[in-house]
Amino acid sequence: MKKQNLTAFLFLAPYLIIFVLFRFGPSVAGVLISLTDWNIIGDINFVGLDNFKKLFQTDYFWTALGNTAKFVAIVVPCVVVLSLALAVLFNQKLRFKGIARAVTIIPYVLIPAVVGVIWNWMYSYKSGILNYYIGKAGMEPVGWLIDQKYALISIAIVIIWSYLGYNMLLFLAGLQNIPQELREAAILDGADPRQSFFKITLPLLRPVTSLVVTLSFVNTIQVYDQIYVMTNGGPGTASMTLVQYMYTSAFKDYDMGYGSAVGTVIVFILIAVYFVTNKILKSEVE
Amino acid sequence: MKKTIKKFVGLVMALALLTGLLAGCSNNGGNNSDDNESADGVVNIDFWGGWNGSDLGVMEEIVEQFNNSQDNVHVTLTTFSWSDMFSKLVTEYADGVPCDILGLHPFEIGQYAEMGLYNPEPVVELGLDESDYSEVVWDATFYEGVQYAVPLDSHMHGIFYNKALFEEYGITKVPETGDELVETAIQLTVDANGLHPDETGFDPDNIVQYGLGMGMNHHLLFQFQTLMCQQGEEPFTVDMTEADFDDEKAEKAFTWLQDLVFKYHVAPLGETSYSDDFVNGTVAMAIGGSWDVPKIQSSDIDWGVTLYPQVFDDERAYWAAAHMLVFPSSKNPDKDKVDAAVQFASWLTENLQLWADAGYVPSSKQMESYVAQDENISVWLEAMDYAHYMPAHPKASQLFNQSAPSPFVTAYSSLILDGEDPAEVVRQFKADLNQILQE
Repeated sequence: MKKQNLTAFLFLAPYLIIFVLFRFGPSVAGVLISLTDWNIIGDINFVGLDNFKKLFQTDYFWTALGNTAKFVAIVVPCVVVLSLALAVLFNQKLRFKGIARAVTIIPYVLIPAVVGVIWNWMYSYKSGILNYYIGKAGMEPVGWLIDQKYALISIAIVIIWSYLGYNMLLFLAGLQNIPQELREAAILDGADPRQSFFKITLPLLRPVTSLVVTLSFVNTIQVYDQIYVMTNGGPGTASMTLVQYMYTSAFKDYDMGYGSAVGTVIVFILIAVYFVTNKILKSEVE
Repeated sequence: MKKTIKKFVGLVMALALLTGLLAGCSNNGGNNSDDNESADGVVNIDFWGGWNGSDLGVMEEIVEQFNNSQDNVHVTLTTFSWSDMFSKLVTEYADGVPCDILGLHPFEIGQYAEMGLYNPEPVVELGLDESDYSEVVWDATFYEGVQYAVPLDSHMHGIFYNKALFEEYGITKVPETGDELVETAIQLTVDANGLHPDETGFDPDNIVQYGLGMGMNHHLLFQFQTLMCQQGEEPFTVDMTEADFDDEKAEKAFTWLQDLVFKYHVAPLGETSYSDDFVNGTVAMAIGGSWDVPKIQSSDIDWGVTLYPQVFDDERAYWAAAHMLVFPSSKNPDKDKVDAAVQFASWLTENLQLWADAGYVPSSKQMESYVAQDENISVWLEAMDYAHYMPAHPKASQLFNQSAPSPFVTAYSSLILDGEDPAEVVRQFKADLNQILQE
């Protein structure tokens, strides 16, 4: 047993080393820096909770928090529902489903900045392809990235498009792990496909759903590249999220302490989300 | 046999992972001249700049010219977006490996000089001659009495115009005033039915050709500076502790810009790239600058350029910027690298013909006769005496930031994208600036 544990640890060691050095360690350092006044190159002065007091009294923080909440509220449910729907579709016996699955995953593997540039052009108010077809349909062009009402939603659409493929694969794996006998038993008991899906498939997918919800939430909160390329947080502050505000505070305003305080708030939000989704969605399936 | 294959595959994957880890952790990032001196005695130095438009290729060519002209110094040029470059400079300085020479604008001197990031000694070593530069340029190289920068060029807005379209629409005079610009732009703006904005039945939602293109970004605020200075008001100063520019003049400036889009319909809303629209022929004129010249030169457009119009009559004035060179300080100074950087800077200031060909007006008066030969670029020569640079304020990166929640971004979004009341935009702009200034 001890030899097995050692073997397992040795296999996990490379990832654990990288995780501690590049994820956990910097996160702890970030929390400590949030208690200081530091401009990256000068002296580090301990200021306690002053950065947090300033943060909660700053309108821009609440704007960023509100934008982030809206962003997540749009992206996560759409990603979960649409990727599940795609997984159910691709779990059927369909022609060319291999190619279709591959095409669905392509957006996920594209570099986020490239995705941002491509969609920037598609969303262009006067020369973008979307407004071209909207105009052909006789409707008014949409200010996708230039109208404060639409900028955040427009970026959300891009993120949903990017995340669908990967989460579809997670759901697909979950679906294929459900024993066929359970579905057959349900059919024998007189269940129709809808009942079978909601009473058998969906409950058995809870662990995967929990994973998809958590990952989507974590990834969505951390979106930066596409926002930077497409709107840079604008127009105005319409698409300024917590991560973008954190980066601007730390690396444009050179207030590492304050930026780290924003980062610390993000970490606590993520931890809270993890525990909540875990509690709600994970359950023993008999 | 299967077990052997599995073990072999596992070993290969482990080695690949280890190799990747070691490569990722290695110090040399590919565009870094960490090796001070190679075996053949060449000193390698890093040159950073923010040129990433059509002028990037020109600067690359200039650097290659220098490298080919001598054997003891090799310059590696790396470019970033202007605002991100300084974030990188600060973090690299903290890490002890900043670049050796940096291109920047005058307003980027003050804040980072205060942080101790610039070394003034190499500038002294260069021995610049004050008489070789105009007063505006010379003064801009100083911060708090210390000279940190070496002038390279000055550049400002201009109105690029499509000569073929001018001829097609019977326009014989290049606009010089704000009213003339609007009038000309109206003549050149056409909807799907061939109507102009001043004609009955004109459809602003179906415009096929715009009279004027302009960047819907921080350059709107540079236009704001021009328009304020033309009214005799300098909106930003190097030592300002409060945004106290005149509200009425600011409102007039913002109104003029907003009217181009919403009242006269001569400039497209939310334009993504005015320079692309100009070379594609979808806008007949464009408010651009020297940085657009290489792209326009390489297009099929028969083009000309004239100065930014005199919109207000109180004073002749133009926003301008400059490219200058500074020598970043280092926690581990290397005399050989500093000397090499000085050598490169000296050569660069004397070999700017390519840069002038690309549309930038070299700061040195010795290059004036060269620039005067170009009928297009030379228009900017006479305007340099009326140039107004953005000030090197110690909070420049917060005040003039191009990312939200910058006061600039909020102001121009509200003004030119949302069409909000210019008086309200002025009020909010001032409030946002003061929030930063009074922190």
